[in-house]
Amino acid sequence: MTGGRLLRSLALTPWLVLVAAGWGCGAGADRIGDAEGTPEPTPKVYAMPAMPDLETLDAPSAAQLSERLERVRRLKGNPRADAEGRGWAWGELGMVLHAYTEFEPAATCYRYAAELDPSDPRWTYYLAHIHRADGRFPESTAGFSRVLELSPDSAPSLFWRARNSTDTAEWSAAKMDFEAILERQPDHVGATLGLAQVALAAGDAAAALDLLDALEGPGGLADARGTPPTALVEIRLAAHRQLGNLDEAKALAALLPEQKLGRVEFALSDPWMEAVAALRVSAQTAARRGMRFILQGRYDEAQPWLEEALELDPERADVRHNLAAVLVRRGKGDEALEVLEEAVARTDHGPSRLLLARLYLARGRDDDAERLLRTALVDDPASAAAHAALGELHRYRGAWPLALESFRRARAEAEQHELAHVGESMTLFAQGEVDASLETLRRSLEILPESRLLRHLRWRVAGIRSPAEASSALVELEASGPLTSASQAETRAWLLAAAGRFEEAVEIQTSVLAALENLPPEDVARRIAGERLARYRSSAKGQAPWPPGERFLELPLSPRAPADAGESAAAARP
Amino acid sequence: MSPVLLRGLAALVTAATLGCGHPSPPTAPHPETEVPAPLVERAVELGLDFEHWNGMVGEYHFQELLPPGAAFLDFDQDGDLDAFFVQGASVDPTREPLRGFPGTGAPKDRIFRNDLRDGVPHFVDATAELGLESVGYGMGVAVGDVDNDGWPDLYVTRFGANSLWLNQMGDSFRDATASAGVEETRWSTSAAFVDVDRDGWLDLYVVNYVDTRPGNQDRCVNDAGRVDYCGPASFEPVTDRLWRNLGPDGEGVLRFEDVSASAGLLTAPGPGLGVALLDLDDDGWLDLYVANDQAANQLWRNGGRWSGAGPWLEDEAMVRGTAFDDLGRAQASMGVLAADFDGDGDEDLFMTHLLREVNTLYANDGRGLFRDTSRASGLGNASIGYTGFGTVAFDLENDGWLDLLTVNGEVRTITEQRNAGEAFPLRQPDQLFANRGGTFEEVSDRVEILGVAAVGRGAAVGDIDNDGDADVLVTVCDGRARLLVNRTEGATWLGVRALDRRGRDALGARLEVTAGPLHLVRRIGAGSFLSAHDPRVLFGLGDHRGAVEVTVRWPDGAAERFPKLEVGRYHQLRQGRGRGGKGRSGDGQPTKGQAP
Repeated sequence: MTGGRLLRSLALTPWLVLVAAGWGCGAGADRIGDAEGTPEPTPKVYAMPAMPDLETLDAPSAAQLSERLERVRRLKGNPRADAEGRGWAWGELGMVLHAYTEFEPAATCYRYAAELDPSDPRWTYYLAHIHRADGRFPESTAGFSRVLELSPDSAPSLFWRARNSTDTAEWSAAKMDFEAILERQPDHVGATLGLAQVALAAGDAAAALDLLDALEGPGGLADARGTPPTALVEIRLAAHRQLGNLDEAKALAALLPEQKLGRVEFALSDPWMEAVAALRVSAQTAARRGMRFILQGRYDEAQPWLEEALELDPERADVRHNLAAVLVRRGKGDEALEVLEEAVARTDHGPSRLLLARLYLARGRDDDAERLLRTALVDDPASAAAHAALGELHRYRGAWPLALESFRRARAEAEQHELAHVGESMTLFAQGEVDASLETLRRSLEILPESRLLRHLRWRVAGIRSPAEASSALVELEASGPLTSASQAETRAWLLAAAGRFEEAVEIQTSVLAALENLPPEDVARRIAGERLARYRSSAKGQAPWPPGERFLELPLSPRAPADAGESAAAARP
Repeated sequence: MSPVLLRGLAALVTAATLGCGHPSPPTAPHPETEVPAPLVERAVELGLDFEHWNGMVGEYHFQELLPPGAAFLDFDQDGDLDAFFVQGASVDPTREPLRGFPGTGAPKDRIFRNDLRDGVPHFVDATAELGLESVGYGMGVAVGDVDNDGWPDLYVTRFGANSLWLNQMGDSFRDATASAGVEETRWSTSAAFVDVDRDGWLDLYVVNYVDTRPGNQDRCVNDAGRVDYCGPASFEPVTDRLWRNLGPDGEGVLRFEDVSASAGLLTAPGPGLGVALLDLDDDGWLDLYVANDQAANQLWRNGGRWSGAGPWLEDEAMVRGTAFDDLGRAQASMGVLAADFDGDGDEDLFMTHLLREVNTLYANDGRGLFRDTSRASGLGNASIGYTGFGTVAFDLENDGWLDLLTVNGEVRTITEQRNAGEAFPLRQPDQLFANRGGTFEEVSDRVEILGVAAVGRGAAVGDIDNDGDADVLVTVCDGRARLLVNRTEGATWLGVRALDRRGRDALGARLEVTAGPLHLVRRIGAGSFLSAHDPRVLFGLGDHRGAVEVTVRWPDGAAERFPKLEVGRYHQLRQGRGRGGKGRSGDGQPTKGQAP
């Protein structure tokens, strides 16, 4: 076993530092030598590239980098270290720099590593990726080709070489590589999409659509994941555009906004790049991962990442905020309160303060909520969110004029503030002004035509006027698609009751209550749901106007996203 | 060996020596026989001495990244272009700035009068004599004659309250923001004057960015935990604003009406940075394209319905292929241009993007449907190593093809510059692309100043010396503005100032010239990222020497021909005085300040 392989085998053990420490501590420039340690006639100097200032990094990231730097420095001065071992150390340093998008020094490290150990294809592969990111396509393509000489079965190398070809409009080269991948892996999504791109470039939109159909067919990508990747929709859209099928294009375009939110990308198995990604251990990385799970509605998986991010960097107010929102959505209101209270105490984080106020409102702690909201309005008198929340508070207290004033002020500050619209119409409704409430909702829906909350509210208000209107609203509700929240299910129960179909209402409302059982008993939403169930059960026929205490729970997530813009667009849109 | 080749070699040696510098993709080589491009930096020499100050205190405030914009306008209507600059302020008055304000007195926007003599521009700071007290954390500026009095007015966007300044016949500017009802306190970036409803009054479209109100903004870090500038994704995007110009009320006070809701804008928030005017389907109604930062771009199609229930504008970016790149990815769009880059008579779209994204060219297929041709055009891959902001399309050598300048500067700190102790380590070189008949070749190394890295932001184009070629004003965030004077000689040109019936520069008008094999289409546009251009249009005619005909499609939809226009000079074309319009026929009139 050579020194390099020995080092690699020890890489994951605590032995490493001790072993490295035992190898001397020369800090001079590394010099090329052959594998047996025989010096070359004119040794080559491997100068350390410019490194990020370790003091400015997260502690775990700095520790990682420091450890690998130290390893390189030790080996540099060790005359017994063979070239392979030194190459490995440089490559490992490059990987951690690469992970943190420090591409320039990473590229230098990989270059040294590939020179010192040309038998290890990883360093050339990583360098080719960096060249690609920097727009050096010829160098990148040459790199992937070299990797393929060493590892002819490397599908990722073929794939990225093909992508280089599409990015430089070398369509025939791209086609060849994509086809080569599909020969080995017929279900390779990226290669199929690539071929569709090639077909589009050749003006053969029909062929592109055939390829995409195969992906989306039975057992295909869409079936497996529920939604097709954005790239697939966009290429399909482009094909229809090319064919002049604008109606098809419009239907596909309607899919795209939601696609962007989900940011469902096709999976590409690339173990070497996954190894680089796995090196990211900063708070930011954990926060980003947590955010991704939140965007997919996987709150239980988001929570540990957010907790880890906070452990690494307790000052991250945005993470604390999002953790609280996740906890609420998981029915852990008490924990959420604690998290938010700490967020406000530590950093006076504005969004956290507002969320905390709303949680207080939900718990009936109106005075605490008011204190926070007043402070928020001192800091930012134009805060629509604070005005709207204050409106809620007034509404709960039955102070209708004050509530209306606050909701209208919120709308004046931000005309599209959904909760201000909701609050205004609910306040009118609570006062028995059903027609005025409906008129407000009609105007609000002109401004926010996509608001499901407003639509549901309109159905509820309209439904209360007569069983016939309730039935009519029910038809609209059924046609609007699947119900995705307890609140929406409550609308259905409400309308069924208003239409006189109490048994069905009881059934639905029972499931609503079951969905809210994680909330504490004093939670307003849970309490009202229970009261409604009792009411439906007693078959009371005239539904009272909207109960003054009705409270909607909305849990805005902090939009805070990674500073690295490269892949943060989707993460930004909770 | 030519000086150009020597310079190229020197650049290679420098690059090799620097080794680990910021990503610098290879620039396209150019033949040894080419003459150096004719742009020369002469700002201070010509009196255009403006230094932007972003007032940073070392806490990475988001707003200190973006500005400033600038404008070319002829505020005193003396026939030569003056210049307006947007200034910054302290990002946190309670803290000591990293560097003091470099000017005298308090920071404020500046306006420079051009006293052009014998073809040589000379700029004089006229801010004080005009009594212009335009202060605040400035972002950009739009120029247009909103009150139809023949004098160009200004709308200044800010991180804070925007301002409308009415030009008082070149003697002063009056703040009419409140009286006109165009107050906006959110973070505005670019703005455009455009007569969207074709009623003869310029309406105002304001692009807004994100909500960074108190409490929203906190520390942002990169993947490794290093504190850095936030991106738009860290905040909620906000909606844009459209004000309809109602003209003067009964008491003669200019009034605007906020029609954002009816127009359909309130349902479409986006982190907007740039705006461009175009008529994507040639229906005579001006459409608007908004460049959003890391979000889908918007293409607001104007169907000409400006009453009744909204929405009056419809976002058709996705269906027409201009929302995302060719793989469905939202890009970080900053500067945006609508122009006929491939010479096929319709308007294409070009926009600048972030480091490691490509700048994008969407080619119009003539039906208002677009295709991402960034890479095939030669514009895409050349830009991967840069973060582009302002951009201008101009015919550098008057050969009839629109070339491109992109102004670059990063938004994340560059490690090497940071390690070297720079306070604002975001400098990058600018780029120049020559249009070779629809595809582009990077020729940045032909212009020395472009290689001097700076935090470039805005760019405005205009002919400051009335010599028939386009000069470019480049703004630098927290740095000194540059004036790139064009020294092109030889090729023929035609200059046009198009005035509508009221004598106002016809913003949005479409001009066509046929000259031998050349068929050129240009529009009097709105500007680009934070900036506003010369409202006159220059046509490069190559070696065409004979008289030409110009066809103008006016913003109100009417079309007129102006035949037999002599080349090599400017013409003033007045609506109603051409052929085929409602007014009398006749040739254009030469304007003041025309080239001999």
